[in-house]
Amino acid sequence: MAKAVTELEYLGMSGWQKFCYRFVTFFQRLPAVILNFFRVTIPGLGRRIWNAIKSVFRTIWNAAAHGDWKTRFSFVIFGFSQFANKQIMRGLLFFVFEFLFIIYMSLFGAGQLRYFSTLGEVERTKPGWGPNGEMIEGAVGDHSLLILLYGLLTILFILAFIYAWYASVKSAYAVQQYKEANQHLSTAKEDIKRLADAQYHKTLLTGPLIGLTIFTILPILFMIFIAFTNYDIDHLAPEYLFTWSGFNNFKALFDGSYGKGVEFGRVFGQLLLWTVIWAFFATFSNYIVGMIVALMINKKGIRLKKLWRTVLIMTIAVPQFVSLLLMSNMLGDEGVINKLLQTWGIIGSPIKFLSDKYLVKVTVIVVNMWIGIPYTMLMVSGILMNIPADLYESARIDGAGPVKMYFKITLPYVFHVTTPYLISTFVGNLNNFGVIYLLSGGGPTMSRARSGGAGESDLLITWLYKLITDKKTYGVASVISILMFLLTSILSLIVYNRSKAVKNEEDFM
Amino acid sequence: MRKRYISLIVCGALAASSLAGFAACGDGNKNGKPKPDAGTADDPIVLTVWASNDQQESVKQMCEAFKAANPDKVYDIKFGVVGESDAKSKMEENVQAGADVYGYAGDQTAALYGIGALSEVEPAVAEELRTRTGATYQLTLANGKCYSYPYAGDNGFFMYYDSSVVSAEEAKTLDGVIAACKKAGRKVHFDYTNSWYALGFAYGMGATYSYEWSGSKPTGFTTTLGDKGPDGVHSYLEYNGQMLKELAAEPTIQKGDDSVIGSSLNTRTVGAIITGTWNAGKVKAGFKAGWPSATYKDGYAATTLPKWKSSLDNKYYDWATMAGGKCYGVNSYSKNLAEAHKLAQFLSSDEMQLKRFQDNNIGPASATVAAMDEVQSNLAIATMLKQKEACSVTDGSKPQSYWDEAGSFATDMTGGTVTDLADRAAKMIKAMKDAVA
Amino acid sequence: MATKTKKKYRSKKAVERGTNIAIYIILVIISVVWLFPYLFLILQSLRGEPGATTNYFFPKQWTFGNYIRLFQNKGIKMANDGSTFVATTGQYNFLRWYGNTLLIAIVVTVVQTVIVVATSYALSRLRFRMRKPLMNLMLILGMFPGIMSMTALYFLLELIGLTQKMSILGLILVYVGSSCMGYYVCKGFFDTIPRSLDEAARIDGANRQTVFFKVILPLSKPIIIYTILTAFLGPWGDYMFASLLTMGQPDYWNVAVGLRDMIQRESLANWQDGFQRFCAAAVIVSLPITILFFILQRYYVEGVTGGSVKG
Repeated sequence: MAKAVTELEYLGMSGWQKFCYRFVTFFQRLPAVILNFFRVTIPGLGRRIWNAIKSVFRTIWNAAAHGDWKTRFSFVIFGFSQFANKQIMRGLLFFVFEFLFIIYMSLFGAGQLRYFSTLGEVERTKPGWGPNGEMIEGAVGDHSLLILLYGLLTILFILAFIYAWYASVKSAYAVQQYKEANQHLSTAKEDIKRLADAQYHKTLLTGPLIGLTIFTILPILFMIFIAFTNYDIDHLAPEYLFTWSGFNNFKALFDGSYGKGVEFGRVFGQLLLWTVIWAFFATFSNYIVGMIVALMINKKGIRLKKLWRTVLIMTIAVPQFVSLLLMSNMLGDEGVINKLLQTWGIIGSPIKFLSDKYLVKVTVIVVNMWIGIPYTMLMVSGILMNIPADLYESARIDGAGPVKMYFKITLPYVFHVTTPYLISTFVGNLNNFGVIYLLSGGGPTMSRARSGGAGESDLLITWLYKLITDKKTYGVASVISILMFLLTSILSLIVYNRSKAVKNEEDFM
Repeated sequence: MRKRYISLIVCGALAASSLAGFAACGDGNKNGKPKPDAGTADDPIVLTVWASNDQQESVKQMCEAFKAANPDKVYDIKFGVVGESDAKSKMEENVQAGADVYGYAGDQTAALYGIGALSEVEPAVAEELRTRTGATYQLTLANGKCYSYPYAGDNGFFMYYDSSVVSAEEAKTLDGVIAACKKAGRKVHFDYTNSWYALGFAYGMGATYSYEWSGSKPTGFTTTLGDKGPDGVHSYLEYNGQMLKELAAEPTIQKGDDSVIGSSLNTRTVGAIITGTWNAGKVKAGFKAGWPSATYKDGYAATTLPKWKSSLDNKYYDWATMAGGKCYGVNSYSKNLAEAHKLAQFLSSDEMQLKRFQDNNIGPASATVAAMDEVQSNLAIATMLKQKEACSVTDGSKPQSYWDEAGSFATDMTGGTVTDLADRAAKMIKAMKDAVA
Repeated sequence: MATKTKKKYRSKKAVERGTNIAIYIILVIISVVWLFPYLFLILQSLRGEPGATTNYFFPKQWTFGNYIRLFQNKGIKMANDGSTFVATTGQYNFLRWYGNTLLIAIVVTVVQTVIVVATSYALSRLRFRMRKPLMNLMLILGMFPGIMSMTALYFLLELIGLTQKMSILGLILVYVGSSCMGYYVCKGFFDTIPRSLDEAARIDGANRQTVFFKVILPLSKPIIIYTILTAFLGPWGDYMFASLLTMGQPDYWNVAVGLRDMIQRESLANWQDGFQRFCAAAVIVSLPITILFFILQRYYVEGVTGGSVKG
């Protein structure tokens, strides 16, 4: 436990001591930070959302209560008030949106929503053969999965529609107030000008955000909703229907009753531990060794700097899956490396790189280093090349030796610049599917019974993949995904928002 | 004030009712009975067929023959490239968009049936299949009924041997083979830690296993592997485990996958190989006269699995192979179900099985075709079919847990770490049972 | 006195030379270790003997045949009697896969660069109410395990009909759809451009759009090239989703799906030169990317170091 250090003492410590101190105090402060997050930030967020909702209702109330007939008509026909007040373009935009929405709902959306509460009622009838050898036709039933997905899509559209309704009403009322105050109503031309200037963010972000909503947010919502259904191997759509099951999956995860003999809770905990250990070692091994390599290449007396750098850069360019497939091939029990070692007589029987319980964990981290060090080396090289030389000069004048300079100048500088990179890499490694899956396929299957097919080198995310493709326990897999997400996102939010890079965002400019 | 409230309510009602109105109309669900194509020139019967990459040409020709055999209807047959072992995962992705007729590996029947990718075969046709294909018919069963058309029946293993080193008499028993190879300085290749090969000894003694399925989910596992064997003390599985242990300790035995077979054939350091028909070409080339150097003689030979002697009671027992195969399934979501069944039946008929043998060397499932001279002249396939009839156990649908547990049993037995044979054997059976309890 | 300093000077130099030699040795070892697998890949692609794996490193026969057969979509099969012959690889069409992936990569590069740069600029320079919440939202959206989202996206695309034959368009749409989440590095770069430049331009009467195009973009060449590079690299490695969209239609595969299929056990068993052709294909895929990377490495470094590397 590091005791509290005074300001003076802190400045007097060497770089290494400072690092240790900050490292230890980080973990000491972590519980308080997390508690603070839940006690202050979330309620704060909740309060802000509540205020926003209140203001929305207030606006609508005002518009309905104080609006003239044009405004009130805008409740039903969007853009009417604007249209009537010569804001033709705005009015038209609102109206077209309403029109499209109505078409969508009547042709497609409403039908999907009708069955949303039950996720389908008509069961499938299989085709077969009757007693007299005649063929019985089958009938396709409701497809629960599609009902859920398209229903969600429709709900999103409805939410967009409600927002458009609110915007139209608000704008209609504003138009009326402007007219009453004899203020100028912006024309179409002025609107366009504003879109290029004060409202430029709308121009830039509308397209990307729509894409984000449909291609990221919708699938995530879909996955979250699956966690509340009983979609699993007994209920495979479209052969069978599945329906809402509330919190059953959550309960089953924690009391181990689900999955007929798979101790989900225990496996989850075991894999979580390995996932965190993996992320930690993967990130920091790459970082530290990459830095060492960069330092070596960058050292004053070394020639052919570009050559060494190029050799490592070439390995980045090969697509990662090719490298991983290759390594997986070469490190197998019958792979090239074992063959060569045996031919040269170094070993008698093959080394179980990927099939031994403990060795596979080491192998995976080492191979990840092989893949990742060129990146970190490159990055650190770039930083090293741009540390102001006068820092070193003044240190040398003060009589500092090379080692001292590395620890007091180089290390802190590099560490400071790469902190955001380290954070994002750590979080990225928690979900690093490709390396583990392509290399070891999750590693040798756990020999302990009732492990649900989890392997020794499985991360939570690769185990998730196995649950989905092999065992088809979609519901529980979704619950696990949600838990993973909560863990990583809360951690990231805290660290990211407190990190210097974000705090000093304004300072940078 | 009241006027405002009223107007507010009217506005709200107007908005809400327009929304609610749409809920009544439009049924977005596509369910109901599919309407099959008519089969005329402007409404041809569209069928999609999946076959593996190697068989594409051959299957295309077969479909042309099918069209010629059915001139009264117009067909439009499309093709997709999906290997038999991939068929299950592709169907699982989206069964409604899957092929109408597709070839799949026989042990996927339960999983495919569970997601609705298989439709029942007409009982009269099923009966005909049963009499025609014998052991492979077992693979098509789900819920006791036949759900696919078997067309290949050569998945399993037997023994190739170099007749210049091992005589036919010696090849009758495993210790004979080992002794002969040891004398000639050769190895015997047997991948004993591979869960597919590992339990052949127990099954050869007559042990059985079976899984009950509910849809795609295994619900029960019954086996006689744990029953007491002939000596009344050890179970079949223990016999098997003991044999594995001894084989692992025998230096003449080498294990490994196909690449090891390949490299030891290149140097002709192997004298006998336990493997299947897919390596026939390699083995033939490896046991040829003059390979790898002039002193070597011709030696391509194959036979059914030799008898093995157990050290527990010094008796000889048979050795069983896993008998698998491939079948054509008809997607139950197919729009043209009756026509798809016709096509599948055609593709699995005797003539087509013969053609498949001629084009791609695929061993037939039909006993009639198997008895033909042309097929019998292919030593590997003939031996495989003979082994299947002589001593085999159906390689039917099994959950992954079977393979995992059998594999770890074999690894433990051959790793030299097991002290209590009975205990380890009982653990494997219990684990397999627990996994599907 | 003079001898003493001389001695100290010489030993210091000796120490430094010793360290340098040690470092050279380590660097050589590192280079060998890093290049070893790729050397293996290249050597295997030039190997003439049949068979998947060998227990020796250098090929005994050297040939370009694997490359030629790869482009002709042919391979070496073993007949029933042990002789080998050249046969077509069925439906495999490597050039087609390469073309598909190249097309996807080019389109994705263009669209993704536009989206990322636009998003980064908006988040970096423009101030609006939802800015911070939006950044936090995008941060955590990336943390969801994306496995089930593939199913959802597949069915969404199927609804619009962008699977199978139109899968190229579908893939492009999915790749660029969420690309705005990758604003992080680009925004970091924009943050380091001094605001004073912006203000000077605005005083001269430029609106924000003009500032973007006339002031910021010209200064952003390094980061734009970095964005282009990373956008281009993306589609080459996507196996899962591409295989999902193109169920059973090898003509529409991308190189990742094709390569994965080539290295399946069955493919290797059926073809005598399967592994060699796989290595050849891998080399062909990696080569242009390597060259591109080599030429543009400076920009990559500038991007990753967040613009702290400035001239």
